[in-house]
Amino acid sequence: MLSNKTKKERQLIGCFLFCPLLLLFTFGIYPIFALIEYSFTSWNGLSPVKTYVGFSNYIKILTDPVYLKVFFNSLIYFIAGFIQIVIALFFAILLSTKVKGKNFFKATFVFPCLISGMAVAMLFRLFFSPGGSFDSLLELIGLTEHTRYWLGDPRVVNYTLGFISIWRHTGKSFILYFGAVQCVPLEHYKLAEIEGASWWQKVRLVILPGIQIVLKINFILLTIGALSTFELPLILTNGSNGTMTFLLQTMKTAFEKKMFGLAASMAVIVSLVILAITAIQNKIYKGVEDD
Amino acid sequence: MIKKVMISLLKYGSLLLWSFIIFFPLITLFFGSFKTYDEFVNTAGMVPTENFLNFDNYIRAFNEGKMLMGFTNTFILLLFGVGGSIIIGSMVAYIINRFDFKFKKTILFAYLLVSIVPLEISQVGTFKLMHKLGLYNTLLAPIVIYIGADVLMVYIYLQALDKIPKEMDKAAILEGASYYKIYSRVIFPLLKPATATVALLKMIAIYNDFYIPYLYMPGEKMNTVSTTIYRFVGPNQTDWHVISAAILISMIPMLILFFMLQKYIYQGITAGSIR
Repeated sequence: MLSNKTKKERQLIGCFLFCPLLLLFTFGIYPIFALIEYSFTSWNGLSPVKTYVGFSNYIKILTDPVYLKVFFNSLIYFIAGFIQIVIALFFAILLSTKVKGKNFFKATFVFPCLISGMAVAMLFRLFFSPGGSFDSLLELIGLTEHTRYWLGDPRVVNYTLGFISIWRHTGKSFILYFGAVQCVPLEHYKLAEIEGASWWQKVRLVILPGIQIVLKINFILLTIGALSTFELPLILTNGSNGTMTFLLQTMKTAFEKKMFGLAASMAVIVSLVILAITAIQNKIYKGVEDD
Repeated sequence: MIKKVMISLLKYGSLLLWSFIIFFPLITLFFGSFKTYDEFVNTAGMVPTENFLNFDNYIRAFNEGKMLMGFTNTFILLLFGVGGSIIIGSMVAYIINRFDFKFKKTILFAYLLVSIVPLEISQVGTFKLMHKLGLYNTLLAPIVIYIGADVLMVYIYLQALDKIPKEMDKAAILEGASYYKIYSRVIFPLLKPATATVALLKMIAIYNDFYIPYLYMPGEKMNTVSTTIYRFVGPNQTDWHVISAAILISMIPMLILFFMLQKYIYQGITAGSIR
């Protein structure tokens, strides 16, 4: 009887897992191992032989400032992510109070994260073009002398991209926080009110501790997001004028310059950084479970 | 009293300011999509068009941009990408959550590993494989990536299964149901909310994806909605009034989805972020 049951179980497990695992290992796991293998070669993606070069790709990337300085651009997206958190949190708390037109504002704030990166990029390419809508807005409020080539001038282009990133992604953080704020127990507010807490004290002592976990998770997601930004600069500037990001550089090295070996070691490096961040994330989860 | 007025002024002021920041670029795009070439060049973006019934740009964008083909290809990707994700995600989660077997830990680790490496970056390793398997420049290339290498759905289903009591399964077994029946008649129907989340998140992700189709489907007849616009902009740099219409056309399906399923989308985004 028992063996009959386990036999059936095994059949089921095999039957249900075969196709999914085949797909997972072919298109998920195999590429990761391929990346690791390529990263020790000078392969160009075409030739049948891969020449092993040891760690020289890694040494090249980690010692040549050309490859590393693009990490500074990640810093801009990281700061953009931080601003995004502040804006999203502000509105999540604000919309948890009595507000007229709450649903309208909620919908407005979330809507941009449903638009494709392509549409967003093209929309802002038009918006920030010389003589475009943004320039005419500046003209209208008397700041004509401040107009410049927003998507070309190396001094401002990264900030423009950072702004577009905030425009697009704040809705996602907002809806996360909004849900979390709703989950803060009502008694905590009442208690704070009895104690005569001010609005700011309520935010600091009741709401922020109540949504701590969501904040931390979101913070890590944004860090990973900042490291893996590449769609916006790819479509808007193609990485020119100092807008290169590490991921975009990796893709260009592989698919344009055909230096798969070098690109693979970049991919491994950025993956390791993300792995480290994820490990911290898991530690936070564990800390929460222990509480 | 004055303090109260100040506070609500600040409150609504900030809400309206952010709404303005979000809407302003979209509104100028909307105005622009109805303008003629001369009107577009000679008027500021924020000036409304004289003729809101001028649909010429939309017709041109739809025809010259071959957007129907883009929509067809995207629809096929959605059909198989979303459907495949639901089937695979629920099956894998059912097995992992309900049974104990030898390589369970290894499999969970494999899923974790795949979810850590950004999908775009692992394409450096996938690219040659697609060529070897003959999937390059076919619709199958994005589909297998959406269901094989994007593993979000497994996590969403695992979370949902955790909340379905195991007594359900036991009761069904006592009534003589096979495991397959339990999955299809008991578990899968109970997973409906998770299925809705997976379907929505995958729909948004696949519809909006640009890089994977761009990388694997360069063929003229293989454009999706996103790559259609990218390739349409190339040779038509000066016709921004037509491009505006094309961008707006591409946004329509997501707009409809959003207005129909707003509540579920809010829940879905939350579920998709916290694993």
